[in-house]
Amino acid sequence: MFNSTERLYLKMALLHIVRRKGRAALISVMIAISLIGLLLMEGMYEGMMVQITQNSIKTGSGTVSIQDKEFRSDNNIKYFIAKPQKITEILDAQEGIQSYVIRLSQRGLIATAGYSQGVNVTGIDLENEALHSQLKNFIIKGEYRFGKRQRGALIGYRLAKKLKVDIGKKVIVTMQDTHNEVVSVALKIEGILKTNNMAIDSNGLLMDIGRLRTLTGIEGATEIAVLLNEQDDDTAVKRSIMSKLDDPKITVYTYKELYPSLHEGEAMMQTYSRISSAFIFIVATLGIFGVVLVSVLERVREFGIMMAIGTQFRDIARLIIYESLVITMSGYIAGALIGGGMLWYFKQYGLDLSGLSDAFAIFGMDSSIHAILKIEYFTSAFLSVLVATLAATVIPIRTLKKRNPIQSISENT
Amino acid sequence: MILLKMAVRELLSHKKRSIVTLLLSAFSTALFIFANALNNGSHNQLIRSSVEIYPGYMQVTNRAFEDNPSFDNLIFDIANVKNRLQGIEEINASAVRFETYALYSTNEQSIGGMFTAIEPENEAEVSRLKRSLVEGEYLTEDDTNALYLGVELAQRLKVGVGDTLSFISTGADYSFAADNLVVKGLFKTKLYEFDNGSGFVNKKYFDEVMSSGNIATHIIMSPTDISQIDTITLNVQKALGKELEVKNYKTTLEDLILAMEIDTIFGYITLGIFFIVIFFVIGIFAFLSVYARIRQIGVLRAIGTTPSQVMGMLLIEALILGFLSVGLGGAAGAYATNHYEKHPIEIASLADVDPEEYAKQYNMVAEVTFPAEYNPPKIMVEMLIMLLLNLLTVVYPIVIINRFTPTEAIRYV
Amino acid sequence: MMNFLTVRNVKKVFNEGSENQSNALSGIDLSIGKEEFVVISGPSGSGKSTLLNIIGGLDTPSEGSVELKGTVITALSENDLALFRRENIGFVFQAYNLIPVLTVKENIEYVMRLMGIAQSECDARVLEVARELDIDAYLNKLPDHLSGGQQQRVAVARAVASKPKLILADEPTANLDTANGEKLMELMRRLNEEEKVTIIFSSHDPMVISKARRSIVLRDGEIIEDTLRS
Repeated sequence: MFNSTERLYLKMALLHIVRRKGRAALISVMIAISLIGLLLMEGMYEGMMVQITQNSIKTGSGTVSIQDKEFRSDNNIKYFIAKPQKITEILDAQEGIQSYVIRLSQRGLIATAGYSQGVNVTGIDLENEALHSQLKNFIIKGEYRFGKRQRGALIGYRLAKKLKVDIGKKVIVTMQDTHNEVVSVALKIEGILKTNNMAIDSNGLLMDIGRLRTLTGIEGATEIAVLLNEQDDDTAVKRSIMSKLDDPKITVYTYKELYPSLHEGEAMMQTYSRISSAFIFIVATLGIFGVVLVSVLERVREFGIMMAIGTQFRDIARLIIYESLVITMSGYIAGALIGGGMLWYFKQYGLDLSGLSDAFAIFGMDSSIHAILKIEYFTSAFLSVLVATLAATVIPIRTLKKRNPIQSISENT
Repeated sequence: MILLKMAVRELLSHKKRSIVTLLLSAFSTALFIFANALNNGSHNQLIRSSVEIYPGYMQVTNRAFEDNPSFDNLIFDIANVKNRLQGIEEINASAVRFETYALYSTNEQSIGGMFTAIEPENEAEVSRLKRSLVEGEYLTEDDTNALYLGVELAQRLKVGVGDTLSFISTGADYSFAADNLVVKGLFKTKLYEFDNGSGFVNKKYFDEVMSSGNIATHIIMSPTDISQIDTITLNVQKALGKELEVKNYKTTLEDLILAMEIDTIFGYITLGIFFIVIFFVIGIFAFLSVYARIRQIGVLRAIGTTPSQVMGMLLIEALILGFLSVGLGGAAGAYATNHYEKHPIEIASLADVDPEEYAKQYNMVAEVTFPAEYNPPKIMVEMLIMLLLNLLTVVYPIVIINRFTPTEAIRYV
Repeated sequence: MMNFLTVRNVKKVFNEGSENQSNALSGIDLSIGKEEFVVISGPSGSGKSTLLNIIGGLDTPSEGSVELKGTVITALSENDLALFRRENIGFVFQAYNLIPVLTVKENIEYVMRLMGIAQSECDARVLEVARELDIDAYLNKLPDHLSGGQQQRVAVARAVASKPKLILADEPTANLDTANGEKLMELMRRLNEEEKVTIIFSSHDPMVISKARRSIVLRDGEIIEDTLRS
């Protein structure tokens, strides 16, 4: 890959680096540490964002959600989907769909002996939901079941804490039916959920969809939550379903439309990461520049001698660039290996912060953060280091040319 | 003196390098001060708003109320408690609340929500409830059947100022209580869940329908000096005795405070990565500047300069740059901090983000502005930290240089 | 009478234990009296500079000791050694080695300032030395603006200004032309005679060697000749 003169230059570059190993080490370590920092920052922050989004998507609306057009702005049960079968037929034929569930939600009042508060009651099918959102895995206490004759319910852990209810206790749920009549039902708590989806954890009660249908007198659903194989297919699938559905009353939302703040948060995080890394590499360029300039200036005579015996100036420039690249790239490799290794570890095993789990839950995060590891992090960092190195050598090479090395030999120093 | 002179001349003879170092360090100082001020300022604002909107700085409840919030565990002799509170100088104001739940019903809708009795005048002293009025009027001490309702709840109930609705609830004696209410005013606190689920009535009226004379669930207090709140809490607890429990916002809003701490930690992580790179570069420049002078330092040593004097000279250089840059950066940071305390940064101007949507997601107060906190003593401490960091950057070069014997240094090429 | 300078069995090994180990000095014993004017000569690599450096406390011997004015300097700490050099020894280097950021005047008075001598006294002494060496016209210039001969005279001025008991000069004339070289030697001789300063310098220039009263010749780290001239 290198011809013999290039190999020679590379060898000279290496030898010179060894001679000045202190400063070369400073640059390598600087690049390695900042790269580790950047990789961890990008990977962990992105991991958090994905986790928050996943938590909302999985147990919430899905990647796309099919609802009555009015339901979102006015969470009133009268805006229900009368014939979900028509939609499920379309979904069964649709490509790219992982799973879907039919849910029925109504706001109500949940009460214990002395305390009551507002609640989101959602009717679900336990089996389907287990397959779809793995809801079963989020049970932290009790069982994943609705018990005898479907008289039980699952409840969010924050809500349970607030209501001071535990497994086996009864709660009274009061809500309105489709005729605006107030109906009440007593439900036994069978399981407590921690999903890190705030809508469920703080305000959610899940009961059997059939039982809720009987209670409210609604035979349909308020939402069909759909999970896609590829999250980024959301808009395409939305369009496809909309066109097949052809019903002006029903609409399909993507998760980006349903949780605009999540999407904005992700975009903000990305911009933030980009600005941070740009800033870091600009500062790093200054450091590389300083070292290259000094190492060039102290060797003007040496370069002069090389030129006197027939080396072209562009070869000297190449030598300088090689030397700088060897230093910065060794930093890059060290940083990429260590940072990448740490990210890989956190991707596999997660960063356990269970001591702070309650606070993380406020942000919709789990107590263990799983990093994201993308090739893109490494390629963009590689390009940044490359550009920073080349940029840092421009002025030193020019300065060297101005000093006219070949003349400097004859000057007395 | 002559060492000082040499340090100054050395800096002046490498103007570009000195200026780059100075600007980098000044920038970091300004960034450090500003980032901290913004972080503290916005967190304090968020906490203050969260506290003041409704929960209040300090509260008294029956000791058993938290574990079992039933009507058996109330404060049964308010007059007596109030009497004792009046004797405590550190308490600025106090207000009595009776919190319970009710089903609000119109002809079309029935929605469960918080139903709370307040002393309108006292309440205005301990929370922002009165100030949150957006339509109609706030409650007075003579009101009967008048409801002060959250805008979001009003919207869901489809009622406006002057409209009538009815409530159904349980009285303090466990009797059934119901009456008609006229909406007197609407409030919007920007705390979505609160605006979406609360209504308030005058306590004198409430006591009649709910049989709750001289009884309350909470007494909310505001202290004269918030910074002394933990001591004040203890004092009040002592004065009120074991039956009652006194808590302050650090306990009642524990999650929020923890969440803010996590946010602070993430801020420090990013800032930390920036600083590592910046100070590496400053350190590299210091290293190069010392290395360029090894011969000269060898000569100084040869003619009788002691190693500690050499160290002193290098430290003086770092100190001069440090003082200048920290002073410059400190002034810039303080100016920005002061400016953004008076004119907070508006979120909308930063990104295309709807703060209310964002806050709703995380169940936090929707703050549209980020104020900085201008705190001169804090800024001084931060400047001192930056000065120390500046000094640290010459430690490595000093260690290296003192390893050379004078002859080695003089011969160094 | 006690000797002014005693070098006892001084050995210096470079790169000890490694493949390219070299014995720069292999057991030097030497006594030099007060007010002597000594030249150390010998071919390159004979150990001249190493011996001068060890005598001046700039380098430590691998073995042996150096006693100067009754102080065993090889036993001093770095800090005490620096103080000892400041008080007792003036150095003149081959490459002048002036401090580039200080003016000629500041270079000359540097050691006196470190010794805490009052500014007025410094000023007077600087002027006296500068006149003597014919550099009083350049006192406020930076060293870079002077010629080689001028710079070397500033270096000598710096070495003598604080009135040291011993001046060590490592090839002081190597970078000077013949005229300047002779001038410098003349100056050294005068310092030796009038100021009673002990002078030891190294050289391989026959003209320079002939000016000294005692000549020591080194070869391969050993003294092969030590002659006194009248």
